[in-house]
Amino acid sequence: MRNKPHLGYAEAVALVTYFVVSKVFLSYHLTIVDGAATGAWQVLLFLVPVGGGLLLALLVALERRFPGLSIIEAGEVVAGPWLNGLFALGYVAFFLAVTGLQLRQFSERIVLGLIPEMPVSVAVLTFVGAAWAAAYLGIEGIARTARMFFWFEWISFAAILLGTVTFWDGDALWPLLGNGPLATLQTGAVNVGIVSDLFLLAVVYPFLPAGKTGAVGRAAVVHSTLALTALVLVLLLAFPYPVAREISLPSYELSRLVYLGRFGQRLETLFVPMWGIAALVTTAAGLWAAAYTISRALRLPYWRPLVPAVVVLTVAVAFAAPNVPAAVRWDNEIVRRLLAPAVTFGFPLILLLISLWSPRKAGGPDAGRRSPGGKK
Amino acid sequence: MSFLNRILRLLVFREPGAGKPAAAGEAAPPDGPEKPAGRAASPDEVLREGRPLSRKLEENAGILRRVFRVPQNKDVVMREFSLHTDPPVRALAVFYDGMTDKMLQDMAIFQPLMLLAGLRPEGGSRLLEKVVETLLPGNQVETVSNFRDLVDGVLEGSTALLFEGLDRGLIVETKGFDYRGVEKPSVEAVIRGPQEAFTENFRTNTALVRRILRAPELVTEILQVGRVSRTFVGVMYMDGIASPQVVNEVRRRISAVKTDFIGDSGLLEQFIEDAPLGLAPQTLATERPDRVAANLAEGRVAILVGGSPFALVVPATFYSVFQTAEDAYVRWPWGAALRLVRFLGLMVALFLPGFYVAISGYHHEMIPTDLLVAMTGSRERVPFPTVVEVLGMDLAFELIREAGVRIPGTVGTMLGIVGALILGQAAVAANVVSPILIIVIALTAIGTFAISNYSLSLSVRYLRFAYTLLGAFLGIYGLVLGVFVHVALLASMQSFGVPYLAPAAPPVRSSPDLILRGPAWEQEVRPGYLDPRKGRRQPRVSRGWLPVRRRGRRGGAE
Amino acid sequence: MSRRLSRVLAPVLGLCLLVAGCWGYHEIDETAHVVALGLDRGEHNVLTVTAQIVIPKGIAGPPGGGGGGGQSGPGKTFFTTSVDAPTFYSALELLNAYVDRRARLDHVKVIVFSRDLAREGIRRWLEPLARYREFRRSTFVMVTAGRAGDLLEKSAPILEDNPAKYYELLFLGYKYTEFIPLAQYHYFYNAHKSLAQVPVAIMGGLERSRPLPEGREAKSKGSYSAGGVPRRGGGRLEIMGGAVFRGGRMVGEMDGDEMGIVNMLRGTFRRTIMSLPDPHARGEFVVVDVRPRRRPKVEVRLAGGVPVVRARVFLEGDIMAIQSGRPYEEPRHIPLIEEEAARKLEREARALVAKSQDEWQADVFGFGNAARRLVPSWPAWKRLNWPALYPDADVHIAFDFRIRRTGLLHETAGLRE
Repeated sequence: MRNKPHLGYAEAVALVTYFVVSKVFLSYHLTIVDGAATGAWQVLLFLVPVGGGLLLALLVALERRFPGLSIIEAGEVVAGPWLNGLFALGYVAFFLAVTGLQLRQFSERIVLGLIPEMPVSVAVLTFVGAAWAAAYLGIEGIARTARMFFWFEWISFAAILLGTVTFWDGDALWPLLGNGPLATLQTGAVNVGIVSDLFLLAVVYPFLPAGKTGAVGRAAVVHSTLALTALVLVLLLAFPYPVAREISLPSYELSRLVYLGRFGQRLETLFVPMWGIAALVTTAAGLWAAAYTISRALRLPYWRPLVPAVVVLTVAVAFAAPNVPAAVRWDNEIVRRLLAPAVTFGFPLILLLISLWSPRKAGGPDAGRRSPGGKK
Repeated sequence: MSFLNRILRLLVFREPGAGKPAAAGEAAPPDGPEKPAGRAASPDEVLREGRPLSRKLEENAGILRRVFRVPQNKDVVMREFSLHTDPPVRALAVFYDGMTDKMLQDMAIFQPLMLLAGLRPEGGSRLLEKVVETLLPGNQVETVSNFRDLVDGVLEGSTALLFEGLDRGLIVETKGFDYRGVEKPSVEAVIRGPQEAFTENFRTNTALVRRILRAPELVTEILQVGRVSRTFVGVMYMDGIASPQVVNEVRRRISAVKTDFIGDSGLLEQFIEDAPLGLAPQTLATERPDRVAANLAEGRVAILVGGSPFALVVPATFYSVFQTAEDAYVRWPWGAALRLVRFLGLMVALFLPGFYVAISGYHHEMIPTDLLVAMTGSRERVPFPTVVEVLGMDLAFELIREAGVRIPGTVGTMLGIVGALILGQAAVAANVVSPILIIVIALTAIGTFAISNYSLSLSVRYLRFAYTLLGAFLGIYGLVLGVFVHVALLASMQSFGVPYLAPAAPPVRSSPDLILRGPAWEQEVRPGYLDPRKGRRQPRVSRGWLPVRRRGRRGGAE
Repeated sequence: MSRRLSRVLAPVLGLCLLVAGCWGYHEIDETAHVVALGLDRGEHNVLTVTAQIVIPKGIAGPPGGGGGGGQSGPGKTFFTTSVDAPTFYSALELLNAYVDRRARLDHVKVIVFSRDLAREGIRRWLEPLARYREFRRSTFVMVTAGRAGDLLEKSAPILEDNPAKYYELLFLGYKYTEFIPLAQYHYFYNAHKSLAQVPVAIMGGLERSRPLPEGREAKSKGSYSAGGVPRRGGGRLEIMGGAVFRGGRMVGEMDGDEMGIVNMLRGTFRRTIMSLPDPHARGEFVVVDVRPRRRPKVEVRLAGGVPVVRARVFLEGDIMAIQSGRPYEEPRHIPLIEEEAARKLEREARALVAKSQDEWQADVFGFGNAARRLVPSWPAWKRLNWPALYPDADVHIAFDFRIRRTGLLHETAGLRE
């Protein structure tokens, strides 16, 4: 009855969108604003659809060859247990690193923005505790929760962005080209890891409605492009360039800035549910994805017993950074620039190439399509 | 880990295939305590085995006496008489005094049999047929051949007839006990809409539903639950609309319930619901026949329990529990508005005290400066932390409410006045609580009253304390953690295989009828999550009188 | 089962109860709400910090008495306290050496710098505030000619009980006067960090802290400065004009009229009332109500390395008074008034531009924002170095004023035919 979770189209879109977008509540803008100055929004405007589209094409191509298999199972067919074991390690490392560092940053945001006297360990543990509960319920529950809050999130997000409209300064977008077109392109290329989170699709696609992976991914990319670009654009409008660089948590500063007369101010606390829930969904999805990947890679029948182990590892990653700037830098400059592109773009590409080059390993693409159930 | 799984199962999941709910596990020992030792056939065995009737009236009477504990039990009447035949045939009528209609019995059984039966003696089954065909004017006469059926008939209020020399008996429908008549709904009152509610009488209830849904597809299956109470449980559904899987699942769960006593649908609900610790009711208990009928027409299944004026409708989703009948009966914009108001009530009831504690403990910047200063000023002499104030007043309020339900009606109004006004006013005057807190608690209370479903309202009332504590420990952040886990649990919960938050998450095909309600003529399809056999309930153009337009997608777009 | 459940839940609940009371749970009556801060040059240390703190019981009325109704005489609604410290934050901590409740800046509405401190440079006091969570970017920035501490101490509101409301209403006056800039910290800080403009703070002062102007001849209403408004009665604080900063130092001061011109060119102007000398009757005035028609249009181009600025300000308004009774309302006479107003504004603007270029060398108008369009990229913009270019810029400002309505009167009839 519950052997396999089922994700509908809308839940999957919500889940993947959250997973990609929830970094708007963190400091993803830093490297981009640094790299492209006033042109930072253009970086995202092309980076997210192009990078996301590329990754999506890769994942869909791989799925077409091995329908019904997640990337770990497909990899085993293509690359054999040893090489695929290495790859799976990479996937797990990616999920752990991203989830762990984001966990740290979200917790620091709680400490910074909400309850300054709270020790960060308490923030991390309570946060991961709630995420753990949801991860334990499984991806279906997480995705439905995501879907439940999807439009609430969008409306709140739009409220933050539009609430600052009185502070927008159109001149702040000039000079239009930022640090020049070359710098814009370069910044985009370097930061392509920002869309790496779409990789979650490769783990959940056995649970998606058949043939809908592409559509889910496309919708997620559109939502992500909108959200990621809009935030940086509004940030630049409200905090003209040199100031935008200084700000560590743009969505928090923007929500603090909302000033709708004497009665509509100091509203940042009202926006806590928005980013809190997005962050929790993301963390829960990350924990689940890591646990599920491990269970697939080791061919274990259950993933639930692995969740506590994953939680421990994630918390360890979260506490590895000695301070906030280090956590931000590790996330933005190591994970997003090196690990994420390598794992999420590189590995699937290698798998795809191998399967193209030696179809016999996969038993031919047709064979893969014929017998998806035979790999259980 | 197994421990976590166990909690999880209680909160959201039902273990696949485990139809036997936890609470039914070890019921009473299989037999009654007063099993007479050494007897050949104890009454329990007679019933369990379904022993056939004997040809000898005296033997049958003896067994029945044992079954009904006759010398002690004065309720049972065992009337011996003779048929007015030649030669007279000895007969025995068995019934419960008080459960039968005396007039009916006299006129329809004893009079014809004792006075009018000018029969030639005919032995064997012919006698029985003759009696049934010509002598008993009762509307339901059933032939039974074993004790189990005979006794069941008597227990329902029928009269059992046994004849000398026949190994079969007759059950004549003579029910005639008193019960409460159909009255106005007391819990789910509406202004616009039908004003009748279910009663304790099972048959009245099925009739109330059937009177609204005059369809031959409406099926009432009757099961009996409860080893001792032998309660009738009616499973009503629309054949050809309701999903057979759901119906089978309902049937499977109910028939697997092993217990002694089902006194009300509230007891049965606990035996058949998916998650015993679930944070919201997984069946919709309603006392309104019209609501049951509407749900049946949507493709749900209703469970009527004998003796209970509340029917259970399954599968229930959050939205079905949250809605009221009236939302559909008033014109749709206001129906939608009513629901929004009720949703606001739900939010206030659940979060307001926690929110208040959170902002006054952690997020002072959020309070408008003027209000902050006013709040601070009014709190200056209050000797407790805000949490204690809130929890104290909340508890006091729960106390007033509980007392208000238990108190005899004549003093009930007094209690409301004493509780709400005097207590609040005095508490403020004595500087025990701050005035603004009274507003918070009062709003919260009003919010819980706005929730139409009693079970949901109870769950909200007590979860509110959890949110208050979360707000006190972790501020708004705590509330967010709570909401997230709460929604995740609800989203993972199922009611008879239907996701609890459907059709919002997962989104499935359904009509505009969630938190907002669309016009009646747009309610075109049945909720897809119920997997109905017929998806559409009215055509696109449901208002057939509209002038036909060529390309109008909807008939009623104006 | 339930025993196992309770075995897990008990420690969790216990943990929760342990938590209560720690980790930042503060009752609202354990907090001292600072509504205004003043920064002066210190006497015993680097800095004197003055905090204005509300007294809630003085505002909310005696608790338990029902509040509001009691006429037992108004209590004090706030108190001020000053402390000398090396830095701003250390002063905040020192405050707790003698204020029982913990001082919090969540509700600070205004931060006041004394002019002496401002001239010395406030960069090192101002910039760190952006980092501190309790301080908000919606706080107003004000400069006072005297000591900031005195200003806060003596500026008791009359209409309000709550000084926080008083400040907010006062500073939101930019919506219906031209005298003060919109000087929330956000704008101040952004301009402070920008190459394209300089920040302007509100000038405030205590009543009659400057010499009042002499003589009865007509003077423009905006020619006063804060503390120099000839008046009697009312609260002691006045706000008028703006303080011009460059590189974190105050370099000049604008009176109300000049502030109005700057507001018009920056696009923050909402409304003013202008008294124009009647072109045909000496000593009489035509009074018009002035509002913006659309945003000002500023164009900058470079002519041989020298920037040429063309700015057009679009205004509209109503006639409020024609003292001489001449028929200026007639459509053919209306342009007369329109031109008179535009001429007056242009005259004032020219003088102010000269002052900003020669005296302050600071682009108070924000013309630099238009200059950003001259360059394609950020490095080029930095190379352009607008602050150095501005003093030599050739600035042309044109005002376009239209009369729309004439009030309730269609036309004034002459007194005697």
